[in-house]
Amino acid sequence: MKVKQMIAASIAAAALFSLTACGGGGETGSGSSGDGLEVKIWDSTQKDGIEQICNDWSAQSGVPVNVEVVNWDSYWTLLEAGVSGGSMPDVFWSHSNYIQKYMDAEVLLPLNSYIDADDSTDLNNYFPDIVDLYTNDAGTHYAIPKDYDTIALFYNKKMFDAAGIPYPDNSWTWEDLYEAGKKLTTGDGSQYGIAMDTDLNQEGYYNIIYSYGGYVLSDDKKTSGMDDPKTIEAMEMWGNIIRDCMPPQSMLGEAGETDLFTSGVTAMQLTGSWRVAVFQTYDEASDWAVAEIPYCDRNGNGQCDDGERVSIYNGLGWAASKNTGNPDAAYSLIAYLCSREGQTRQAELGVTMSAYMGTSDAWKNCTDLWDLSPFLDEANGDATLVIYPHSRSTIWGEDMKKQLVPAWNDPSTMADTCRMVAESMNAHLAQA
Amino acid sequence: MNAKKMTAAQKNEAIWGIAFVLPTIIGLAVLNFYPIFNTVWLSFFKTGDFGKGNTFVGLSNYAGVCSSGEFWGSLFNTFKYAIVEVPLSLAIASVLAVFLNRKIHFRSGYRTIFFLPMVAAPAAVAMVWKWLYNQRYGLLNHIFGTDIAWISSPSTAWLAIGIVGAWSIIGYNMVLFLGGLQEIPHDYYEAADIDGASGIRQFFCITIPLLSPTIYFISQTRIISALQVFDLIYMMVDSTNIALKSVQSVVYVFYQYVFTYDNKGYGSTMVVLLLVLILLLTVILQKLEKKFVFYN
Repeated sequence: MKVKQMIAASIAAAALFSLTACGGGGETGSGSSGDGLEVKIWDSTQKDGIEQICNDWSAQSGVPVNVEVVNWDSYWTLLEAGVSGGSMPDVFWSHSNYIQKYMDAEVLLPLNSYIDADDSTDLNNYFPDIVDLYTNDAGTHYAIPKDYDTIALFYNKKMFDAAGIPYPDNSWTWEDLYEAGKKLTTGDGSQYGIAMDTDLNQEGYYNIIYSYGGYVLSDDKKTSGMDDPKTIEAMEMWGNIIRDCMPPQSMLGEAGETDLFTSGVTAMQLTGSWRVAVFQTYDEASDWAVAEIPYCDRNGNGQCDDGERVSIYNGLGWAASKNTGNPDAAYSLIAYLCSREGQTRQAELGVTMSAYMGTSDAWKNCTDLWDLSPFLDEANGDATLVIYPHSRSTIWGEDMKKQLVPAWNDPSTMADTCRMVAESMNAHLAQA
Repeated sequence: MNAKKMTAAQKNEAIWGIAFVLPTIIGLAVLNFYPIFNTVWLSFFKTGDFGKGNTFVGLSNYAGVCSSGEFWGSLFNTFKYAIVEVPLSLAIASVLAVFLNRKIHFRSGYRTIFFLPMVAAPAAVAMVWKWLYNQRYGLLNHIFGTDIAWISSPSTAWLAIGIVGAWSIIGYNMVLFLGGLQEIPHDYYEAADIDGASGIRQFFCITIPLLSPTIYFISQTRIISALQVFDLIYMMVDSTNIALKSVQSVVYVFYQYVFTYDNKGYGSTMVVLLLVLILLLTVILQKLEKKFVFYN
């Protein structure tokens, strides 16, 4: 009978153990080490550049800085655990998807008194939309803008040459992209025009929606625009692109768009400026070039008018923890990173375009592989910049990425899917 | 043991006994029992940000979960996974164990090889298989000359993932079976040989009955952990995969709600229901034990 008892006991233990096994992981507490500042970011390609700027600051201030990268998903889990457990990093990146929650919980260092006392920092120097992202309704600033981004079209010159199609340029409408994409799609599964999965909203379908005059989220952030007729018109056009220019969804879901483009399977890729640093590292990089994002000729006059070319843009902010051991140093580091000098360095080093207006021109020269001016020209009047649609809770955006998958698989269901997305988005917005 | 009267020696022994198991008890309490009760508690709340401002909502999370197609769908997917993984890993492991219990060359070498998947990190296993299954670049389609979207088609994805689950657990099951086999006295086989029983007859009339406690133990623990499958699906199926809806398990959906949608109360409710379900299943299996398991 002994065996039986042992078995019963071990089953009970196994049941308990395994049930809670998933709850135990992921607890990596980290506090600020000594007198130095702990900095957390999520983009490993920016680490070297950010580290250099931080070191410049350390040389002046004498306070050591330790920059750590945690990938996007873990970053927010870790930061949230840091809030609950009281061990947040001192200085870190903030994002429009999450900032509202952190501002409401008052866990970030309010920067107003510091900014007021500091003559060298003036928030008027930054893109106002991005400053607004990190300011609550009461006017308290919780982060200073770090960067901004725009979307442009990367294309593979070799593949365009082989197909005998002229390169994309400023005159391209979404129809032109469609026609070229269709020609570049061979039909035997070896080559496609473009690949943009549902999770690329800022780089993908959000742009076409706004350029057709539709919208994703109303200005008061209370209703969804996914069932707006113009949104649906845009998404149906996007559906045509999916049907005739993109790989099947089964392939999209398995291979990343970037992999498909960089390995020469797709000829075009709508790309955020933040990817430029990674794209440079590929051997094939010299085959590529950059053009402005296509527009929608809504009034049919054959040229791109105001509001017809849209690039969704967003910007990160540098924030500090309210409980940092050294708030003065934390602010000083943020102010330096966001100063004219720090922002110019960031652009020169090719980290990203900078949020301090007028400092990003140097970014263009960070590589001689491509002419990056389309990214900057869009911000300088060639395109209407629309801030990344966001509300207090990001659930609807994440949900949309999943809900759109069947429409990517079968674009004929696009209109109905968009209406369904709008319905559940409205439900989410009503709750928040 | 009579609790009323303990001699000094017994008392001493008991104190030391408790002292030795105390680290485990503390570990269990902090890492397992506390989270379990916390999870149950959370399932009655609409959770606020950063664990503050939770509002009591009674059973409305339960009503929400029970009326959502997503939960039942994921439960169905979970059972589909278990139905592939458990029998497959059990059958293959038992046959392997019988062969590797014989005296053959490189026996320990084979045993090591079959056990290796158990040593590899589940995430790494999932990544390797993800690439093997890849429709465009995967080795499987390359070898067979096929063009099958193994993990991106709702009709094959659940099988493909179940097979990976079975593959990674076979070695562990095999070792347990080997342990069970070595408990069986050799006399029985000798007697059977003398009576002229064939190898197959011996397997079904001696090995299986005498191995039944081990078979029972493995199947029960495997069912319990198969119902909690998460890592394979999380690693192998991207969020934009069309097959996701037909493979996402309860724990996967729980993870989505808690960590992506930040809805900890609703997510907790799902795992509490899963816990209840597993407990029920365990009770049923315990009852079945009396019928099918033979203890000598």
